[in-house]
Amino acid sequence: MALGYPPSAVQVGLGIDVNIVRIISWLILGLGINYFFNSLAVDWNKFGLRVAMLLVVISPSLMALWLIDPWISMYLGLLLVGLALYFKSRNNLALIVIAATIFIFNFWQYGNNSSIFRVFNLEKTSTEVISHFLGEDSLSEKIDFPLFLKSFVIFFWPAVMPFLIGLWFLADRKEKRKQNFILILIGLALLNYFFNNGPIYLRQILAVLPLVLIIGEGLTVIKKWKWLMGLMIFLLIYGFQAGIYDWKNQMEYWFDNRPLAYEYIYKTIRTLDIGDRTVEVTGLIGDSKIYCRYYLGKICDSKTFKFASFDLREGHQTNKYYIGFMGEFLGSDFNNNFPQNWRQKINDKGLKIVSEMKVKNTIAYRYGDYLLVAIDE
Amino acid sequence: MNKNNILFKGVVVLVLGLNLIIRVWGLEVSPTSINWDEASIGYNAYSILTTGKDEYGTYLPLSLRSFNDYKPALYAYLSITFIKLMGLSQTSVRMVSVVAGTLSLIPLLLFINIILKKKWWSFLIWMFYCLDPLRLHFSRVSLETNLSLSFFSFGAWYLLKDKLANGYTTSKNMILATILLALSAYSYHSARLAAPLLMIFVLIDPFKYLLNKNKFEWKGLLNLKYVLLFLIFILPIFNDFGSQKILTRFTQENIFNKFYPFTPRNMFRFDLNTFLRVNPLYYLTGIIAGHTAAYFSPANYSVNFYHWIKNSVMYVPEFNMLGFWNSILLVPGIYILLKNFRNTKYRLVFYWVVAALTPSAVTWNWFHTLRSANLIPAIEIISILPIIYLIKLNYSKKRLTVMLGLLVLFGWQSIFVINNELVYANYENQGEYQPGGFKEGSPIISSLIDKYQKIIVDTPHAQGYIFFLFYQKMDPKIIQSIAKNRTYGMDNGNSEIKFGKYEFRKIDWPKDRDLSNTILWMPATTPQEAIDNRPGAKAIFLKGPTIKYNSAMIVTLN
Repeated sequence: MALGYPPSAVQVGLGIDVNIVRIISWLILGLGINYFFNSLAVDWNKFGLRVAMLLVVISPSLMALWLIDPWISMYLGLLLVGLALYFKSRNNLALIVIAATIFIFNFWQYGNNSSIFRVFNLEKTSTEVISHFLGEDSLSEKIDFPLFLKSFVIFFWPAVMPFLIGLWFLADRKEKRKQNFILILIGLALLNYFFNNGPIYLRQILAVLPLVLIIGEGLTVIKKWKWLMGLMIFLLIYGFQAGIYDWKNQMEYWFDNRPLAYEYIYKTIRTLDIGDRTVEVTGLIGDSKIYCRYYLGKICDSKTFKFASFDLREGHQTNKYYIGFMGEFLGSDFNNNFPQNWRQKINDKGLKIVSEMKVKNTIAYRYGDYLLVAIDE
Repeated sequence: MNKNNILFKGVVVLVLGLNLIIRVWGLEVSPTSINWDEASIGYNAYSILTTGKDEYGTYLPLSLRSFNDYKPALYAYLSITFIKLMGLSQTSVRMVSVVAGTLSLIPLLLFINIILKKKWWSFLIWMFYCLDPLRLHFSRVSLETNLSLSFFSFGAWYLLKDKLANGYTTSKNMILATILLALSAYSYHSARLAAPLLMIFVLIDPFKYLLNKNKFEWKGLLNLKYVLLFLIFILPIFNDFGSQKILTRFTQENIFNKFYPFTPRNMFRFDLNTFLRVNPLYYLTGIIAGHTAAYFSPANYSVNFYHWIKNSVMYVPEFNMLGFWNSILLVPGIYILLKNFRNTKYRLVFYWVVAALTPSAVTWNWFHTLRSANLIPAIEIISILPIIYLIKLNYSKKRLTVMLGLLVLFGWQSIFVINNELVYANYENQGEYQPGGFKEGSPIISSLIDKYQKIIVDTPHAQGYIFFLFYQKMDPKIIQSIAKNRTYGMDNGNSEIKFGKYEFRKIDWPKDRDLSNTILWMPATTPQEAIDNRPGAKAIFLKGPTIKYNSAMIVTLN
């Protein structure tokens, strides 16, 4: 919350204040984390578990979850409870239920992961080639799509050292129960990875659990050497503060830019003297109306607002605010290339640019990287 | 030799033969056309064959200046035989890679067998690993790194075989290993760092002291004489053009050059706040740690996440270095490796991984399969460890079921890999590392050139001139005659050059349309109308070789 990142589409859609949504997400996740780690205390070292719990709480991937997506926070919270129950009971049925939950949730959230199902359909190679030939390689399209490249690290890099030490000690010792549990967690993480069709950090999210337990083991070993432990604590705290500083200063680099774009649009509208004018807001990057309701309230249901992509190549209306991407003013371009003098070209149409924002990562490909507010007075 | 041994060797030769066929099959059409590096290697080999000098007139060079990237020349020398026999062609220039890629499978079998010690099981596993996607792909493109991988694998075999079998080294095998690793360094840049590192790790075995708390054996340092011998062997490479020029590629690509000032540039200031809150050293260490960790991630071995891999010669659609099932096996493989780390055998494999990934970890890319190709056998061995574990299990019924399952899955995957490489990849990579138009346009230019005074070429592809030299089989003396005027630098060479009737530069149609008795080769963006409006002008559109789009146009101006 302190970061000031605007609400995501999922959060806005719930119609509750974003801070409350985030607190609920955090609580669900927090309770799940607490229950999970406490239930492991039979086999695992308490110090290691506490460190692991702390690392999970400050893990950038997990922080991004409760900051952005309440459903995935809930999913992960429930999985943690399920895993704790399995650990206590050692009932394989619990494990099957968890695996089924991973499978069903990912299908519900993202549809099928075409890349994995493509591999499962190896026998259809001839059809594969034809579909690829037609340029329908959905895997590469998804990887190319800028928002799918958005990702968060699981840990800050200083955690690598206790991770390696923990991994070595876990593998070297004869602690079957611990080893098996780590392997089960890795198996579930792989299952989530294969069936999740979202951005890479969500695909890898379940890997947090085995990794953090291994790091906790590593730190338990390191504890013997006070100077090394001191150095590790310093580096981990430094990494955390540097990460937060980085997030705050490069929000558009780390996070999905669409909520930032909507925040810009509706905060700009607040400053405009609309009077009896109408406002046409782009619909290129998602459901604009729910964001409008979130920022401006019921006024968004009036005839003042229209939410759809527009094309001003053939002309425009006067006394109307147009808010959209430069391609909506000048015509889209297949390669997302626009002339250097685009401002002049828009002015030549009789439109005055009231405000503009350059959006990182091309969220509206073919329509340029500038979000504009313009009017013909 | 008993019958069983003869049969074993026979089937190994048979599988090698099949692999050679899969690698050589249809090279003229898949990958569709050559890339600029293949053209450069091929033409320089042709130039050395006919004149004894490369395109710059350097007599028997150890490195090819090429695009100012100083390519190791060994691949070109080995290509000479094939070019002499088959002529300068797409196939002949790829043959060294085909042969090297096939031969590199032998040490893989030897390694599997020395760890597993059951030759028929080893053979079965090996048979499927022969068709790892990147091995197959690299063997069908002329890549110096593939030749290097072959020498490196043989070198590593002689370096490790005694250690794996008896725990000590013999001088005969060490000398053989040193020679082979030096040849690997003569083939590709990465081995110049990876090979001595591997030798040092294997000869000193640093983790032995850490794990067992033994006293360091200073006598062991005497074994480093082989590293010294290796360095003496490769000294001529740096003597040839001067170390600075030979290290051009590293200077361009290294982590320190690309990421400076390490803290993201939009946050970096020369002030106390930056140094306290987002210290460059913290970021630099993070970058190095991340680059190293990337080579232990099974995900990176199975899927291509990175844009620098896509649209490059490294790209294997649908896969990466390993097949799908192999990369899954990598997870338990890493676990088994760690679990058995006290065992020298497993440590040696780990050393191989670390040595081979180091050259690529110090460059700017997170994961780079060309620079880390020497890693392939070690990673394959790690992913084979779970299979070895299964084979050694006593429960024969369970073992048989799992092995049969794996057999079906790997067989299935192999069919997909072959089809993927020979057919589909061709479409997927078209226009990127296989630039279209040059191969198709070259015969047209050959038929026209005698009637015209000049040909001006404007191409978006880097160093387009090399394709004309290659496809026209132009007399090397022509390009050698302008060598003195060609600029040195770090800019991949000067693409605006003139030789013979050729001139390479940007074409300005409104101005250049007034030229006469000239051929223009340009991007197919000038409208047909504009050509029709110029009396005496005629346009020929060059269609891309697989997907039919206009990749370039030839305009004759009479």
